[in-house]
Amino acid sequence: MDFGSNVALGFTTALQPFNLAIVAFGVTLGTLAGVLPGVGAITAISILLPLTFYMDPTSALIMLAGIYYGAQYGGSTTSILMNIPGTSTHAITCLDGYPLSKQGRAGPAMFIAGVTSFVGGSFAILLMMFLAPPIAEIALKFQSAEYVNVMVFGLVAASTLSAGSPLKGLAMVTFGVALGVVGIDLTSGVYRFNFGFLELSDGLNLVAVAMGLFGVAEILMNLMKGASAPFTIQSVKLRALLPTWSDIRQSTLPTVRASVIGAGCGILPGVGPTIASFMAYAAEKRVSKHPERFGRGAMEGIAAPEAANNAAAQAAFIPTLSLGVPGDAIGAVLLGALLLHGIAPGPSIVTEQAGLFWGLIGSFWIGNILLLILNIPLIGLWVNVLRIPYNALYPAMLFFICIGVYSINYNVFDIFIVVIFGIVGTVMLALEFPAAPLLLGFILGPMIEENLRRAMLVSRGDPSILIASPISAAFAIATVLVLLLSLRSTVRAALDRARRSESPPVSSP
Amino acid sequence: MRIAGFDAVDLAGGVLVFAGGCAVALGATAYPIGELTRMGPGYFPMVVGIALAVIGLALVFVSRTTATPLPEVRLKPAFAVFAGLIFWGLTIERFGLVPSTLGLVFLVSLAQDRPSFVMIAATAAFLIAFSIGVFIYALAIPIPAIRL
Repeated sequence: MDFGSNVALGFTTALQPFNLAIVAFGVTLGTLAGVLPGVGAITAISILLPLTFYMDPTSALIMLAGIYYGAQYGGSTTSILMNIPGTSTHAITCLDGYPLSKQGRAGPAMFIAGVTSFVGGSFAILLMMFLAPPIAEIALKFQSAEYVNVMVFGLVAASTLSAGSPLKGLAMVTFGVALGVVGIDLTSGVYRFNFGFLELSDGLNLVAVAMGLFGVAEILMNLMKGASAPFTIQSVKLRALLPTWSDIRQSTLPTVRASVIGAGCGILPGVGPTIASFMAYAAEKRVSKHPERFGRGAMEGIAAPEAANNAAAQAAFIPTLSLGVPGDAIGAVLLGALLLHGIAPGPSIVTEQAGLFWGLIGSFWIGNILLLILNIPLIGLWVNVLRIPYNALYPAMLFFICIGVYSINYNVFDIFIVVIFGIVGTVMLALEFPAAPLLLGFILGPMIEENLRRAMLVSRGDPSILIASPISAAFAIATVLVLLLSLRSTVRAALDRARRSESPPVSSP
Repeated sequence: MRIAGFDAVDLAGGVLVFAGGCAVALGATAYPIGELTRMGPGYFPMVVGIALAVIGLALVFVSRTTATPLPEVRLKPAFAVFAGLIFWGLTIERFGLVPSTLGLVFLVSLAQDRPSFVMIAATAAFLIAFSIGVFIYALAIPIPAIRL
């Protein structure tokens, strides 16, 4: 099929009344999840995943994806008004958003955030329409060795490029791969690490693991911090929403640059919206003639990260759908949802499931336009949502976690998996380990093992097959480079600290 | 808690990761390892376990020489939340949606310093009405509202 008829197919699919309703539902919920601090897109997606079992796979993906990119819009509101990131991808928006809010310019800030989000998202969707099919074309020729390399690169990039210690990220991604081993080994039929539980034959339940790690652990960390102090929210006058000409002029070029940076980050497997927003902000600060304005209420400081995180969130669908390698933890959950619907992730989705792929793209356009309406004229609604007390919110979230997880298999066993991973996740968060790489490792681990075993079988045990083709070699080199670069700073920091602690006369232990 | 010469957060993390890696590698020996050409079910977990243990050791090594104390851990919220989840799991099939949800909301609200019974009642009432309407009537999931 040619490009035009594919696009037409996409919009016909997306404009079906049910799909139209479901994308509206998805982006509204996504905005809600984004606005509420402590409720991320991944929590919202996991809670609603069981609902999608009643839909066809296209509608299911349209709704879940809508929650994901909807949250990229909503989170900026909380950052600007309350200096608390609605989701982690909006942490950087606080830096200039809150000062603007204190100057009484929250309205224009939210207006700019909404528009730049739309621009960034649109740029990445265009990119996806033109790039995903040819990438899938190439990926169809991938052998097992190429897949192993692409996936290992994704894992290493996701774990080491995130904020915080790269070693801890690596530890979590490896732990996730280990968890993926649980269950029946498809090659030999051996039950591995099931501790005698028949319920573990098919492996750990993805949703239960995600809910424990993200949902329960985040709620607990919030409760343990005792952050029950009532939020002070500035009232927003809708009339004061329109930005000035100088706001628009200041934001235009940063938005364009940040869209490119964000989309570039999104395409790389493992590099998600959070990193994209940090990079775009840093880039703007560097090219600015007045870098001292940043952090004191510069409009570029909102335009750049907001365009970047939306571009990255949309562009992350490129590797997720055209390679079957998720761009981040949420992409991993979306692929898990496809698997539950009986669709194997991989490049064949783009060609064999054209209705799904192009329907999703059609829904992206509709969803982004809806989000523009939801987040600018209707912003007052979301500001009111912030007045819901957390003490009423978290019991409700825990209830939805319970019923959501239970209704996947109607098995109470999964609730206890949530409890166990809630404990694991809380310990991890307390010790400053990131949770997202674990989930990525958990999803990609079994795929890596399968492809690795196949590659070794083909090459009769000769490991050089892993770097034999140009694509394999390129990804292998990229993996090693990322590892060396990220660990170099860790090792240097450790050595520095060691030297510093040696030089002053230390009292004997 | 402080441990002289070590970043307690990183040290604890490193030791946990190392122990986890050793456990995975040891567990893998229970399955046939095979060889590179024909990897057995134990091969991949063995490699992953060893990698995890090595990363754990590296974390311990890097953690030396700074001193961050372990964070204060408040156990009450943890007990309340997990008690609520376990209660829901244990009662949902035997007693149905209404009693298990009431218990869940009550137990997890004990995590707060001064739980408000008005808010507990309002949250529980809303959730029960919502879930009977959406889950039991609209989606028809096979859970009874109340089973005595």
